[in-house]
Amino acid sequence: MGKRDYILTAILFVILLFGLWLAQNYLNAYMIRILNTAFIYVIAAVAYNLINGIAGQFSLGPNGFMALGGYTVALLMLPVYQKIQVYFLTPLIWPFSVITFPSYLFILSLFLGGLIAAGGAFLIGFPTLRLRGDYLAIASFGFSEIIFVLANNFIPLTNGALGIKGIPQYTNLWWTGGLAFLTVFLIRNLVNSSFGRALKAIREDEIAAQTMGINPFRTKLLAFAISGFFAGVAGGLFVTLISTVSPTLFTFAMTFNLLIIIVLGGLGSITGSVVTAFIFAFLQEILREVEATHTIGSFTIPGIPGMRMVVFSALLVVLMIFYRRGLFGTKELSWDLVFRLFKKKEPQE
Amino acid sequence: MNKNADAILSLDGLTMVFGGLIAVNDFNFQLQSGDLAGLIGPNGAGKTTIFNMITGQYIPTKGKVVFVSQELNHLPPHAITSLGIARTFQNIRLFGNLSVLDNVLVSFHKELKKTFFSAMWETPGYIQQEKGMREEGRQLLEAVGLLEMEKEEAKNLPYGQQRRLEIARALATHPRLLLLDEPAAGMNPHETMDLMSFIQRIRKEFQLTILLIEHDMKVVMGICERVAVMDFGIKIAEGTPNEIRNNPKVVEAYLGVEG
Repeated sequence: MGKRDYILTAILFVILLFGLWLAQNYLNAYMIRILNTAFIYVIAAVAYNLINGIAGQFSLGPNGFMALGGYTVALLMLPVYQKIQVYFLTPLIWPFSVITFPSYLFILSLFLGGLIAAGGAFLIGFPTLRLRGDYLAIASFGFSEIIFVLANNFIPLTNGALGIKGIPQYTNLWWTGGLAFLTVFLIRNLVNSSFGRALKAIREDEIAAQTMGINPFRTKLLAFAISGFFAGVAGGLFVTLISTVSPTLFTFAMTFNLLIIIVLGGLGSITGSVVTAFIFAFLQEILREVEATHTIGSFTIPGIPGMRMVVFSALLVVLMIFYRRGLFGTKELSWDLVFRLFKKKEPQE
Repeated sequence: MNKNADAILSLDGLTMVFGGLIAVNDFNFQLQSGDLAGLIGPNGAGKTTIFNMITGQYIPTKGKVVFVSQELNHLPPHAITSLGIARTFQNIRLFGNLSVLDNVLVSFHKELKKTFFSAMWETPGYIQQEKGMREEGRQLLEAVGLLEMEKEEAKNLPYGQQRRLEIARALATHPRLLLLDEPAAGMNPHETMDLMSFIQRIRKEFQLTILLIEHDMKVVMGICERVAVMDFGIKIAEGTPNEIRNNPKVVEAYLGVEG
């Protein structure tokens, strides 16, 4: 980024802060909740797009990484007295049974959650990213299923299907908005850097990239671990937003949602993912309408749970027909683009 | 006297077997620093297979590749590139959706001294290096006459310029040895003439040793100082273009034998 772009980005950040302040003070709890969810989707989707869109490695694991981050944060932040209450059937194993982070260490717990998730990504990336092709999809899908099974059955750590309740609700708009901004900033910088070029080169033609001196394995593993890290942070935020975590929170449906977001936004477009993450979070709420019971005149149409996903699927099909590469393709919204738009308009006015 | 002593590349008894097919059989060849040599032969003679063995895409069944007294046999392709061997591909393999400049910049990545962390935070040190890379990339594009296309996506370039960009991308890895796989394929006579002078120019400018595979005899006879001829995986002749032209074995391989 040039100096001008830095200043403009800083201004945007201030506007965002002001917007957050407005939202925090003037919006109702329901709207704030949707905004929080949207920001968390932004973090998870941008991270997911790094590996799927930029590096072109098809992963199906973000729900597993979010679960790792979510459980880590839950275990670190849950007060000890609450832990005794929650784990009344099987006591929590040491050392988690005695550790509780004070609230000012919330950011550290998010960081650790991210690290654990990055570790998980490293673990499956290490054997599978040496290979070319779709091995990563299968391995990452299997990995997130393993996490699901572990969450259900490793009761001394996760409390099984009952989940963990009463996690202090630290997440607010400042956290989600701020971290979403930071995530987008960091990942965009990475994508625009030499590392981003290397990843895109691997996506375009791995053999040619390797012939130009890029170590594909190391580069892909790095991207996958970074992607896992931010997914973990998103999971941690999510858990402290809804103050509970259970295995069903991070099922494959989560990955599917993220996949819809990044495909609709354009695989390889970070800003595309940001826009569609917001659209998705709001549509999900608006479309609750189609699941509700309606009465038109003397007719009563019973609500069908799950109708939302049908609508989403239909939307996906339509978009794939008319915008095969998503809303943004691999293009990015950038300051340059904004300036060009204005310049084009000026002579007409 | 050992003539291998100052060879930049020496191929000793290279053999590549795919299942029951012997693609290359006991191939011996030396390149001296500064050479411009050609590798010719009918389709399927095993020329590209030799390139693939030199650059690490294939591991030779037998024999070895020695580059400046270092054996390359079990090194991965990116490590071989870092040692100073670059190549182009017979069927152009550019990064189609990347800009022309980015295609060249990719080759500088191996020389990046900063971590991903400094790239993410855009530390002054990283920005400095990025600037240096871009500057060098532009200079290189200027040298190959593609500077005005720097922002174009590589896939939108006309064919001849795509070939040129592929060579520029290979040059960006800072090679000592450049392998060109059919650089004139699909070019019209005019483009071919351009290419010949282009190859000779970059050879001088970048002090390269060049080995090229080519079907266009005008190119081979015009610029190569030494030519090796292959047929069915075996080297059947080696010498100056004039010697090759009059070698009965070569004529036989290309035109068949009467009767």
